Amino acid sequence: MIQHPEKPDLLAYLHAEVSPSRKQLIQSHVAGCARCQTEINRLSSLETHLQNHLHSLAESASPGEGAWERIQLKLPDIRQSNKRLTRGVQMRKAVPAAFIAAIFLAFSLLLAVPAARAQVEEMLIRWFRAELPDHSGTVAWGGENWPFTPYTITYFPEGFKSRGSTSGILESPDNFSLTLTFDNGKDHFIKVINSQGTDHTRLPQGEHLTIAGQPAILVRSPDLEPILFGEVNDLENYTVHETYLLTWFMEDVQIEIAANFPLEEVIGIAGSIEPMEASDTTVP
Amino acid sequence: MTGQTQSTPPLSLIHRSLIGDQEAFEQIFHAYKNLVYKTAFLMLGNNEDAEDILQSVFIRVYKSLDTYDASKGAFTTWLYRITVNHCHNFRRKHRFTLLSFTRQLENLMVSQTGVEKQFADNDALEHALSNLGEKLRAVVILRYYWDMSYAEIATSLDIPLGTVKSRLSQALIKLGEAMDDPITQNNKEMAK
Repeated sequence: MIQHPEKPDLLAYLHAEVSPSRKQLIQSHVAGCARCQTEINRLSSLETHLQNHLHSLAESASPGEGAWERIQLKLPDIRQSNKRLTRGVQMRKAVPAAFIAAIFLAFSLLLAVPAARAQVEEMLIRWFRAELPDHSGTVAWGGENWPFTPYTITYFPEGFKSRGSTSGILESPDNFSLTLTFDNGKDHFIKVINSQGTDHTRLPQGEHLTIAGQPAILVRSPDLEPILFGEVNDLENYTVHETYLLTWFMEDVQIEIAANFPLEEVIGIAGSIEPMEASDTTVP
Repeated sequence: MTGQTQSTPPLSLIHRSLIGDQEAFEQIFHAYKNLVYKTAFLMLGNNEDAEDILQSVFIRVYKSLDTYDASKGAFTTWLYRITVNHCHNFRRKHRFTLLSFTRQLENLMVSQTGVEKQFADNDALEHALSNLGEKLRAVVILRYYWDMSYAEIATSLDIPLGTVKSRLSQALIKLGEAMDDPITQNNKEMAK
């Protein structure tokens, strides 16, 4: 049986990105295989077209007048402290009471000193916590000047766990977003995205339904790249077939749930949403 | 190779920038602005967004220039990574705008059913490019616009070499399918 090189190998061969021994093998095969020769010719033609197209597109693309000046205006402030960092912490188990008490005591002593108090108050962040749906621990998240109480799910399918990749993003001075991630360690995921701000005031287009008594929108097979993008290569870890994106508002917080389950299950997960418990102290 | 930009600016410029010499940083900006701008333009598809990315990238570079280690790689590699990451984050923030645009385009095509619509090859390719996921589009741009090797792409995007190879292949398969789409072929025949 003839073993035709796989497409990635043919492409790498075309790009001279194969080892000498592999190159010789592919070269020998292609010399006697009309099918692979045709494929190489087709790839080469497509690549030339693509290169020409990209160069044509970008030929006149260049920064407008005043680009440096606009950046320069913002430079002097940047080297000073950035007070708008958001931080995320996740705990899988409840912090021992003695440890909490020790932290409270330390902060109480600090607060008694005026100079230290000013510094501590700068560090104060808003904490939120919620018990995980399987009662295996607690998820906690804190952010400086965080403007809203985030929501999380109180139900997920058996075998799920919190992934530990909570992340809060200061998108801009007026927009905030927090993502909670859950998965079964294999190929199914749930993302709960809380957002608030001027960029998050409208529902998208899609099919209408109701979640938690609120009008919601369903998108089938959404573009997952912006939803699953992260430091870990999400799309390569998850099976992405049969995915759904539900969007609705709880007060002025936009909630999005993306998951790759049958729709009925996704709706059930979305319906379990509840606000996390807020605390204005320095510890969760 | 596109352009004549040095892969790493003179270290003296970097050192002067680190101590707050804005004239030095301005030289770095002008030397590498097109690298950032054109990459962002090709990733996001318009000048307005590319300007936003240009600004956010260089502000980020200014803030974190002390983290750049010349012994670990070229400045351009570091810059490509920051640029692509900023484009990914930008798309995430504006995903509904982008989804809306795609739906508008689809609606336009649907509404013109029955009317002969002549797509040139470039239109089909452009449409296919805009429908590539961000990760595939990034490798396409680095390979086919910036002529980077697989190793350079892997370093710039901080992904394994094998992933570069598979993403390039996936991208070309998708682009090829779009070019071979029966509707595109039919329209090309009609145009003859």
